[in-house]
This record gives sequence, C-alpha cells and structure tokens, in this order.
Amino acid sequence: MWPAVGTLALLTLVPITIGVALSFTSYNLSRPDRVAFIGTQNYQDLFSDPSLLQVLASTVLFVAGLVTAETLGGLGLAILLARQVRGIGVFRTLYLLPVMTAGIAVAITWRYLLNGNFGWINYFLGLVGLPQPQWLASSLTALPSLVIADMWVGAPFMAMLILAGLLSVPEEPMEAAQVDGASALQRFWFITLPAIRPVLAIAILLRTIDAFKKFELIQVMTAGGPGIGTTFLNYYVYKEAFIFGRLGYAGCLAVVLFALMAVVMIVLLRVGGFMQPHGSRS
Amino acid sequence: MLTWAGLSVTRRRLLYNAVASLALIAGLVLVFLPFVWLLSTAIKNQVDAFALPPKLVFEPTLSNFGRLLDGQFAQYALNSVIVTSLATSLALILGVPAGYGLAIGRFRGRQWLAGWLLVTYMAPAVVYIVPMFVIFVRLGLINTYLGLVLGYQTGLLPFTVWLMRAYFADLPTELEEAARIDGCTRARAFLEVVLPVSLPGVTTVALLVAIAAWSEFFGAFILGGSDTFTAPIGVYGFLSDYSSDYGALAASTLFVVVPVLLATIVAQRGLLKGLTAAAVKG
Repeated sequence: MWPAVGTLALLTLVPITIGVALSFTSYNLSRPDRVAFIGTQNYQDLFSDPSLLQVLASTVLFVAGLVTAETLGGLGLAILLARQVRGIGVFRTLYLLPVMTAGIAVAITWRYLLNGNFGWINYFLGLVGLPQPQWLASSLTALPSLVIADMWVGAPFMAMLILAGLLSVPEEPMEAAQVDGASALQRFWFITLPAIRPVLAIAILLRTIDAFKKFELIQVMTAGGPGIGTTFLNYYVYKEAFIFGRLGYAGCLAVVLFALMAVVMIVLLRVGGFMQPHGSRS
Repeated sequence: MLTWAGLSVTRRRLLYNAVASLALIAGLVLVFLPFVWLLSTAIKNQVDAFALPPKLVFEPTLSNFGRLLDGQFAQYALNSVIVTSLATSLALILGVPAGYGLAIGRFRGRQWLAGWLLVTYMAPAVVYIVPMFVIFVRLGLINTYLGLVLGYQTGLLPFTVWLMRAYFADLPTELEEAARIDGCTRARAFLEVVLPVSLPGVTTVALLVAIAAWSEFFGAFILGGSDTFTAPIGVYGFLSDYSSDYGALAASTLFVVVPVLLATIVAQRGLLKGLTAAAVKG
C-alpha cells in the first residue's frame, strides 16, 4: 500500500503546500516571471475585497438550501422506494439513472430546460397558467435554478443511501410499536429516524462536500451570474485564478474555502455523532 | 369487530401503496424529462429543436451525429477513452492494495491515514488544480495525457481507496492468515489469494472509478489543451451564447451519458452495493 500512500502524498501534499505558499505571493498569470513574496498581503486584501462578503453569503445559502432540499427530497423518495411491493426494483433502477449522469450533461440539459424563452419548463408552466420566470437570468431565481438542477441528481443519490439504511431497520420494534398504538409519524420519529441516523449523517456529509465543489453546473448554467449572484466560493477561486490570472490571491481564497469546508465538516461530524469520545459510534 | 379492524388496516395499506406508487411515477416524469429533451434534440434538426410546443412528431435525422465525427469531437472522444483507461488503471493499481492495507493492517498511524484520505476527498479540486497548474506549466505537463492522468488521481485515488477499504473490511482475515501459514509472503498472499476472491468487488469499484473519470470536467478543463481535451470539454465547446448548434450539443452529450447509463442498468445491483457500502461503513 505504500506506493499509493506515496503517490497520494505527492499528488496532494505537494500541491497543497505549493498552494499555501502561493497564497503568500503576488503570482500573476500575465507576468509569471515576476513573482514576489508579499507576506500576508493577500490575506489582508480579503478584508477589502468588495465581492467576498456576498460570495461567502451566497455560498452558505446555496450549500444550506441545496443540502436541505436534497435531504428532504431524498428521505421522501427513500421511504417510497423502501416499500416491499412487486415491481419496486424497476423504480429503484430508474431512480439510479440521474445519480450516474455526468455533471456536464446535467448542466447542459437543465440550462435548456430552464431557458426563459424557449425552455420546456416554462412552456409547461404556461400551459397550466403559472408564471414563467427568467430562471437563469434573474437574480431572484438563478440560485434556486441551480438547486433544482442539482436536486435532480442529489435527491435520488441521498435516497439510494437512505434506502440502504431503511432496508436494514429491524422489523420487531416497528411491529411492537404498531401493536402499542404508535402513529405512523411517531414510529418514524422514534424508531426509523434513530436507526437510519448514521447513514443520513454520511449522506448529508457527502452532499455538503459536493455542494461546495460545484463547478460545471455553474460554469454552464449561470457562469456565476447574474452579476456575481451565483459566484460561490469555489467558482470565485476559479475566476480569480484563470479568468483574472491572480493565482496568488486565488491560492489565498482556496485556503479560505478549505478552512470553511473543514469547519462545516467538523460541525456536521459532531452533530452526526461520529466524533464521540472513546471511539464509540453508531 | 376484529375482522373489520383487520380489513381497515389492509385497505389503508392498499391506499397508501397506490398513492406512493403514483408519486413515484410522477417523480419519474421529472427524472426522464432531461433524458427526453436530450434524446429528441439529438435527432431533431435545428428548427425542430427550437419549436414550442415541443414537437412530438418530427422527421428524425442522424446528421447531428455525423457532424460529431467530422469535427474535433472525434479526437476528444478518443482522448476520453485514453485518459479514462489510464487514470482508472493507475487508481486501481495503487488504490486496491492501499484499501486492503487500510482495512486489515494493524500499523500505527492507520487512523491518521484514513483521516488524511477523507481530507483529500473533501478538498475541492481548485485546491489542487491551481497549484498543479503552476507546477505543470513549469514541467511542461499542461495539455499532456500524463498531466491529466496525474491530475485526476487527486480525486480518483482517495475515492478508490475508500471504496476498497469498505469492501475488504468485510473479507474474513483467515484467508490471508491461512496463505501466510502456508509460507506465502504478504504480497503474494494478497495477489494470489485475496485478490482473486475479491474480483467482484474490485470490478464494481473499477466501474465506479471509471465512471467518475469519464465524467470528470474540471481537471481536463484546466490541465488539458486542444490535443488532450476530453469529451465533456467537447460538449462544453458546442455551447455558445449566440449560435448554439443544439443538435451537436445534445448528440455529444448523449455520447458522454449513454455508455454510463447502459453500464448502470447492467451492473446496478453491484454499483448500488459498492456506493452504499462505502458510505454506510464510513
């Protein structure tokens, strides 16, 4: 296994180290021969960056909104898919298809489905007399549009994980509760939910990580717009690095992104009960 | 009285199942809407593709696929095959033994290594790719297959190790022990005893890793170039704000999506097990 550890170290530690080093320099793509060490200047610039606050706020809004929507959707879908009825296997297979669809395909397709003028979604909305928003072009609906498109993948993904959890919930306590007259809601809340909590926590964790990383979805659907309305931190790093060429500042932003994700992960892991003392879990 | 109560429960269950199945079918409409758009646009001419209401009856054409063969996309498609094969092979060669070591090895720092793996998986691609871009420019690795294959490992390798670890954790350790009592070295025991038994698991993981590599966008977008761009980048290339060639766009997207969907349908049981096992066992 040591070759793998070595390669992984080389491929991760080296770039991360260089990335951190980069964040203390004035590296710019337009003049790569004149790189100067500028100390913490990039980090001081963070505080005078007019966009950063909005970027951070929209990132948090996007990640929280997306993961909440996907969790609720995934939970509902999983409960429907967990029934032991004939033909349920076909449903399980069909709902797996979005999960395996390439990000670029999801982005392209939803960009056209949600097109304000000739998209199918607006056509169907018009048929039933609902308002037809300029989904991707309006600052009010651009972020929700991205959530809708990603939910198409994320809700079934969570459903598949939660389903695995649901199918391993023991029957006996359920039957006992039913005999004792517990309502369906009570049974879900007191028996099912505690049983699937570890799987649910992992699923939420995975989708949160993924939400922070979104790239082609944004690049294709909104390019971070309108304005910087959907320029989330990950996309902001990309823009600073490869559109504006400010690699030094981008390195600094990448450190911020990494730190933000680490904080969110630690909070989620604690809430999910994965870091209890004495190594006890489940 | 008792039979009446029993009947009521049965009826309630029947009603619930009917409503739940209807909800699942309604959800499938949403699941299939993007696929229907993709499939139909790929075989429509430019005028029909724009038509609203969506044309259900039209003269199908294969000219969109023909245009893919003529242009650069054919080269990009070939690049996708090359890069996916190489990147997947490397990830497996390094990652499978590493996953085994992590699952059954009892060495110091095992927890640290697992933690580091999680960190590398969590870190967004920009954290690696920005510094990697700087290094690769210096080393002349931009726009080379080697550069892409190495860049992909930052995501694929932790993914492989994590999946394999979950799989090997279920394997009885007696297998290796028996082989070693018979005088095998650890490496030989792994290669000649453990690996053949684990072939189904390795195949599943290989498929998952290959799908991830095939769908990768950001790494190829940044580290690739006109000689090495992959099919997803080719799809993106058909996108333009002013004169989009919808037919070619949809046809090229299908090229990216269809092989994965076919593999998913064929191997869905294994894929689902591989994905959920890794998540559930954390």
